[in-house]
Amino acid sequence: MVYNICMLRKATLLSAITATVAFVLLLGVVPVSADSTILDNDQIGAISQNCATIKQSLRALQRTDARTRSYLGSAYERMLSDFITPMDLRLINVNQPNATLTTIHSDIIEARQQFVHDYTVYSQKLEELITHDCQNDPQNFYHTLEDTRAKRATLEKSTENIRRLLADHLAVVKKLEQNTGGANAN
Amino acid sequence: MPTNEKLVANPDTKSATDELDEKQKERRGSRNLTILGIVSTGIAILTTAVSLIIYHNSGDIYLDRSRPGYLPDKSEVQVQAESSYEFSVTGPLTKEVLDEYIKHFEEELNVIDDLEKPFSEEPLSDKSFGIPEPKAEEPAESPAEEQPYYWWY
Repeated sequence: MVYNICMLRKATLLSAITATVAFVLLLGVVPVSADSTILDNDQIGAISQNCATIKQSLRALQRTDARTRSYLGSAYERMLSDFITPMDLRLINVNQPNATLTTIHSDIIEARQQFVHDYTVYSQKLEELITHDCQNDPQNFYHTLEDTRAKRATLEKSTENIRRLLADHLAVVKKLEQNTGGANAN
Repeated sequence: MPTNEKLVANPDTKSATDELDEKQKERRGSRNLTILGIVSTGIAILTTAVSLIIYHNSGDIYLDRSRPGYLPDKSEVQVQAESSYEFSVTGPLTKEVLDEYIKHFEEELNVIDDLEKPFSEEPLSDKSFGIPEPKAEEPAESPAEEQPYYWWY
């Protein structure tokens, strides 16, 4: 009898633990869409009706974004390899290392890596959006669209961050130029 | 026996003619094979060229080029190096050198700024996809309107 009660308690405990673990795992797997917009009938109708046009626009955007990524990526790479890195090295060579420029340099490298990462994440989301069935599942399509917008906003911030860092670099070099005042710094 | 002679003579004649025919057939066959090879190679080159042109003009090439691991072609690198300024690692750091650096740096910044608002939110907006604005929720009727008005209140 006592043995049976013990076994029952163990089974109850085990099932409680299993249920808790399952619940926690479920929380992690199931997307929480509390923030997502619930569309009204007009919006759902518009998405279903314009599905083909929306897909076409998204594909055009995908190509434009790829061109932009290629353009900006090359420009950032050129700025780093032809300007910022040689400037740091030259300052070290003339025994005038500039801590601010070095910090900005490493920040730009980091920001560029972040830009590459953000673009990859965004392009994957955009691809997911393009392959989503907007005609039969407009509500979830819109949720994916909202996610894609968020990823795009992150990417935009990433480009703004790099642009700001490049401006900072230029400002420091201008200050350096003013301090040099025509004298040979070597 | 003339018939037998003919019979004996004819196989030799036939075999000579057959050999000639066979040789001609072989020549024709090899010629046809060569033509087939040339034509199929030509078709392959043509279709590949057409598909590459479509790949380039449609912009799909930029999808591949936008990948993180993409490296430019050697020819592109050389053209870039020839056309752009590169700051030297060695040498004195004078005002003139810094002026030149600033000038070229600003030019490169202008190249980046040529792209107005890259990755802006506008292309993914509801408006650009023809999705109407959500209808504003009708304000709930106030309790005062729901209840009848009694003048003695």
